[in-house]
Amino acid sequence: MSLLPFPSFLDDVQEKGLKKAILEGVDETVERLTAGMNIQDIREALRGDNPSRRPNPRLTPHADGFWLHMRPGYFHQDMTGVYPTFRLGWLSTYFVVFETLTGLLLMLWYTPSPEIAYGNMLKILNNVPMGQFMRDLHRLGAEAMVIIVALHMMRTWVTGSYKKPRQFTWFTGLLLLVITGLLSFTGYLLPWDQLSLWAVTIGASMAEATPVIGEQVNLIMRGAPELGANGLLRFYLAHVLFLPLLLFIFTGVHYYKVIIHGHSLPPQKENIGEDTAKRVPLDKRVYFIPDILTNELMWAAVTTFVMVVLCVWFYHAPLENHADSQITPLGTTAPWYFLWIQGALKLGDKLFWGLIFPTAALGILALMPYLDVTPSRRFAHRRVMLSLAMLTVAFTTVLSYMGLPEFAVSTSAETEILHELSMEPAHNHVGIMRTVPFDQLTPGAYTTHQIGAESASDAASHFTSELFARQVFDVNQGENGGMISEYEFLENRLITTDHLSSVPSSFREVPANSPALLRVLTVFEEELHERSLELPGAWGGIIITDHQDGLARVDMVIVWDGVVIESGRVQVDENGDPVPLMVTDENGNLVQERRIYTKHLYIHADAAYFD
Amino acid sequence: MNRLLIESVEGRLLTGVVMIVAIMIIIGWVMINEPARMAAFEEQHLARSIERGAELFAANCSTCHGKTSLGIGERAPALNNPQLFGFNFVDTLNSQIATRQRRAVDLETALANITTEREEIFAEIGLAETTEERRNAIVARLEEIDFLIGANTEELAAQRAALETELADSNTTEERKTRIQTLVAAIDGNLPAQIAALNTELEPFILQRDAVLDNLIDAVDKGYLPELAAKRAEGGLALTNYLNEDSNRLLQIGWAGDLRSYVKTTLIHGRPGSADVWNGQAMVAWSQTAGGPLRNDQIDDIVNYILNWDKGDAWTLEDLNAVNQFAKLHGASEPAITVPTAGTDVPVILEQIAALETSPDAARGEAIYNGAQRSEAGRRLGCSGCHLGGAQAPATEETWLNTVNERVNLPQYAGFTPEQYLITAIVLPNDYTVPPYASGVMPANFGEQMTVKDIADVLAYLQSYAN
Repeated sequence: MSLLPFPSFLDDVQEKGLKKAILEGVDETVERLTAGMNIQDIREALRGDNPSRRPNPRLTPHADGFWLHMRPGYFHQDMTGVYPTFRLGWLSTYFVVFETLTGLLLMLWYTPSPEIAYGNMLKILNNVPMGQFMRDLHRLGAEAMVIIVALHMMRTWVTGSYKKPRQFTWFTGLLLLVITGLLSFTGYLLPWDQLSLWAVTIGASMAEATPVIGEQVNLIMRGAPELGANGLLRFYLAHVLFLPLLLFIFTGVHYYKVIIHGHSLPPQKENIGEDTAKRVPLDKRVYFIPDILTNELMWAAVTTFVMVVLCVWFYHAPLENHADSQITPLGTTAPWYFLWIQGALKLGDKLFWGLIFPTAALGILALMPYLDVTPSRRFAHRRVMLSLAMLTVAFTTVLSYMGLPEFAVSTSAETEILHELSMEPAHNHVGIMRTVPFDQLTPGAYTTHQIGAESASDAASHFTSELFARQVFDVNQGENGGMISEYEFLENRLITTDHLSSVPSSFREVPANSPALLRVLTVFEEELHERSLELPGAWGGIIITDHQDGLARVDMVIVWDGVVIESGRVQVDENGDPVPLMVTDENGNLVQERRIYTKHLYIHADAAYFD
Repeated sequence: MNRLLIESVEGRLLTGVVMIVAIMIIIGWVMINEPARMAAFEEQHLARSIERGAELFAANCSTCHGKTSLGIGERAPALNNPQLFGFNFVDTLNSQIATRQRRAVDLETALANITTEREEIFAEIGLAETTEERRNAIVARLEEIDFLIGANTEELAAQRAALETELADSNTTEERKTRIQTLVAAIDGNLPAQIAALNTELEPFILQRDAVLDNLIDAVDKGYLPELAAKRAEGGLALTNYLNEDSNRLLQIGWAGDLRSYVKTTLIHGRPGSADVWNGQAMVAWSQTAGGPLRNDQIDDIVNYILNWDKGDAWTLEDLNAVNQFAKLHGASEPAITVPTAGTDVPVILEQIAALETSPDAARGEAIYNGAQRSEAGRRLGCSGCHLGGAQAPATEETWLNTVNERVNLPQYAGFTPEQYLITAIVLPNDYTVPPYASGVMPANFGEQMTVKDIADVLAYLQSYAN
């Protein structure tokens, strides 16, 4: 007979007393929540005792619960160490969760529009407490995830774990690798700075090479011939909806396959052709609860700690200037994990190296378990396959190196030197001219001629008088060019083309209280010396003018004798001297052309550029 | 089991907990530093924005506004300019003067009101219906009024002394004493005396201000405070108010927002109507929002750069005098031209030049050409505004040689001397337009803005590029 018209907790209280009724009620709730483990079972597990009742309650959460149904109930003892899996599969999953959480936080402050995306980045950096920290975590996590997933694939390749029956697991893993790459790539664009726009433009231009439908593929991907509002929105939606959806689905399939087939054991631990993963002897079992679970929780804490330390003290996500489709930065590259494709492109045809080659490489990897059907996973029996794996690593490394702008991209010496000295922060690098402290930017004109001279001030004044005395041929003078003094030549360029208000009438030595400026001049001189074949008779100049309170203007100049350059190479005569670039003057005589290249930058006292 | 790295469950849990606590400590530490970090980022970002703005300004704006934003004569105004930032050279003096002048105006008004009152009540006395009681009241009031507005200070002083004596007399009734106090107060409040005292007080301030204003004359010629001379002639509060308002560009044009919004809006939309005041050259829209070439973040960079010209309270007269051109006001008219101008009849001009008594002055021609000096007709021409560098119109330094080598060989100018061609080009600019420049851009009224001597001098200047 119940106290109420229906059976209730009160009946239990009446029957067992309040304390016992509550304890049993809690115990029952815990058992339901954990899908099989009551308080006593949990206590035993955490103490490291053996389970006190049969059947083992620690296996029921795997059988009956949702959260653990994708994890095996026990591992083979040989599978639990850092070696042989290096925990790369687990780490990949960790980063999926890590990226999802940090990404969700960043979404709160982000709008995918070229009008405001970059402004959002600035707001995240200057107006959102911990904004920079979250962005750093997300960015570093993305880079780490690409590495981890790729290493996970290499590990599987090396240990032959893709072999029967795990062929399809390998295939889903490969899909996950591609999705990871695409996720990282689509995320690259979102800050809408110069780095992202140009890296993605280069990466996306590969799609254009598709035969017949290349233009359409390009349009679908970018939403317009150029990356703009539509392209950004598409990349954003792919980054936060489409690709994560695919990632979660295939992560599910990948995990499910692990349950079905068990972990592959280290090759030497099982007999050839025999898959013993599903038949783990009792004495070799390490149960998920409590050992693997606590171990994974610990690793999650440790990895997060490492990420936090890295992002607080060692790593900050880059943010360059606002994206500008009119200005291509010198030394633009694809994201580093696509550098190998960029390198391959330098080998020849865009269609073959940019599209067929990467697709074929992925295709061969996907088919590998079906082609490599030898039963043995032992290293000794897989010499060809292991060699192939190492060759792939080597080849990709070489191709990636070739993808760097340093390789086989010829930039004229003058452009390169001044770019190096003055570049805005990009790729963790900044031109040393920008790092000169503001109070060392003493107005005046300085020349590389003072470097190495016995008396710097004499060298500078001698240089000045030479500048006025020397007559050079300027092609821009009048209609057919004409002779003017080199000083006038310099002045014309700086005032007319570069909008400088006035050029000092004499050069002077760098004052003693500007050591950083002297260092720039020294590097400048070294660079000019190194490229003296291309730049014969060259001098470099740095002209500093006060512009506003706290704002200085720096003009950097290279003046040299023109030489003949064909396809990036200086033409030399039989003596090894460069062939001078001759032009006809107004009187019909051949004269060597004097050339000038300039670059200017403004430096503000608070700009805080660092090496 | 040892492959799990940490043997016991407790060990693993402890490690995890320690890690999490460490993470929380680090995050707490970061959190404490966040305000400073965000402020530093803000400062750095503003600095770099100014750098980019300087670059954009040099590339896009400096051809009209000058390389150091000092303006180009008759082309575009300075932005590196105290007026834009509302710096008033007579600010403190002006507020001293304004207070006293307003007080003086109040006193004058009071004087006028009381004088009117006196006339009214004086008329009332003579009326038949006025009662005896009212008459007494009026007489008493008239006495007070005379003390208040009386102009003879010596007489007033004597009267005051008499009243004081009466007040001290023990025979005086209490009623009379009260009355005396009222009358003494009226003498003390004598309005003409107060006005005179104020004017004495004002005089040194006015003199000081005049001294400062005399120093502004050079800038006035370049468009600073265009009505200064007229307002100085008017004097009084009108001048004070004019100085207060027109020393500040935003007040001058009645802009309701702040300076940043003013500069930004101008950059975004340009100045569609400014062709009227800038010789047919309007400022175009610069933002993509309004159909221009620049993105809005670039507009912000330029705004930051322009606002960085502000010197706060440190603006000096040198800064003011360095300005080549000040902003103009719509509808402001130039004074009428009183001297005979050249007109548009080329042969006549040629004859008159030949008949000139003085030889042409190339230096004066250059000054007129660059807008640094007015023409004899009193106009600033600023030819160099367009003919600078050859971007908008044929370049100055090439004009003479091109005339000699090319223009006079054109069929329509067969038999022309270079002078004849150039005069035609000045006074009848649409007669022929050098390709690729657009026709109809050059104002066709130079014949009315220059005298024959002006033209002769400018020709001499152009000819100085012959070699």
